[in-house]
Amino acid sequence: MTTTTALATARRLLLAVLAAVAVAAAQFNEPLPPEEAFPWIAFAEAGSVILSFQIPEGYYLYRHRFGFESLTDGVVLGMPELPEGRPHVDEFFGAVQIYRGDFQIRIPYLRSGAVNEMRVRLELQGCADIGYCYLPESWDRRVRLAGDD
Amino acid sequence: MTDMARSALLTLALSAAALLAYVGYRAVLPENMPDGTEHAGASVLVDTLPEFALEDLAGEMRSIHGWEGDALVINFWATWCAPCLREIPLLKEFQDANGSAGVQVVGIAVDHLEAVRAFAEDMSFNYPVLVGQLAAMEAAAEFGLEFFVLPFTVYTDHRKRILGVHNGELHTEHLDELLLVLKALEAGSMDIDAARARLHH
Repeated sequence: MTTTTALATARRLLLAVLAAVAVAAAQFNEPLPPEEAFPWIAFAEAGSVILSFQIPEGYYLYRHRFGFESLTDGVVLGMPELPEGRPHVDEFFGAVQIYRGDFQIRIPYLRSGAVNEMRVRLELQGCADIGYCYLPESWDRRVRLAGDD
Repeated sequence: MTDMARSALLTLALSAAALLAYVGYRAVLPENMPDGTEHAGASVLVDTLPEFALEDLAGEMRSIHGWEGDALVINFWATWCAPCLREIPLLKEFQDANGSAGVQVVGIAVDHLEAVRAFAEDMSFNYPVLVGQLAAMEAAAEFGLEFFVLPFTVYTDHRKRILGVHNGELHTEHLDELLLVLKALEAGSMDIDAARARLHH
């Protein structure tokens, strides 16, 4: 097994484990903690930061509530490539797009000097079909850039 | 196998172990909680109404203890939360029907004052609305609640004893249940522990 293959496999499995935690927690009929309702991982690939999500059934994220920021000097994020969401007509807020299930957001980056790692800030907000919404969340993750581009 | 690949697989193994530990922890948690406490996350609901004050829509500070002798339905909400907005007409109807019988709805908006004021112009609230951002979150913490979803609603009896908390959108049957419990408490046909067990959602 090459290092690249092992890492890709581990990422997929890690996200699957996070999703399994969410499914297990949902059995207890309580609001999932936000990190279990909206599990995600971040990694760098071909000059982009990839944010990979696996949202458990019954939960969704609003496309228009995403925000992204580089917290590292020397790393600038470009325009995020958000996939098309599912149309969702909200009785109060009109036509919006939401994400359910698995999806990825790709954000190209530019780095200067010998920066091998960055911290990315992700802002998001979502709800559960059962009848509640999560407070807007802001999460930071470290992403290893070394040898990516 | 390289160090990086080994590290990745170790991470995976630890995650799987964490999953098993988590499931086991959540499975035994309810049995370890005393009656009348909130089971969500690490929350333990307090027994009596805590003391805090928040701004109302006019900018005046209002104590949550300002409705002496009333049972309270304290509804935490926000203008950006669709299920929160959906339940407001129900709460208004409930207030109309039960306000004179000593049951008072109090809204607590976890939001910006201006956003709530603009929303209130269209909504014509018939119950008081208090507003705050960090202050409202701190108020929720005073109840002992681990707080990450809206709406949620805390019930008290006329003596300001906490009866329970409802996570998520309220429906008629939840408020009907509250009224039954309040009547039974007043009549002495139900004790506080039974009331809390009945209203725990």
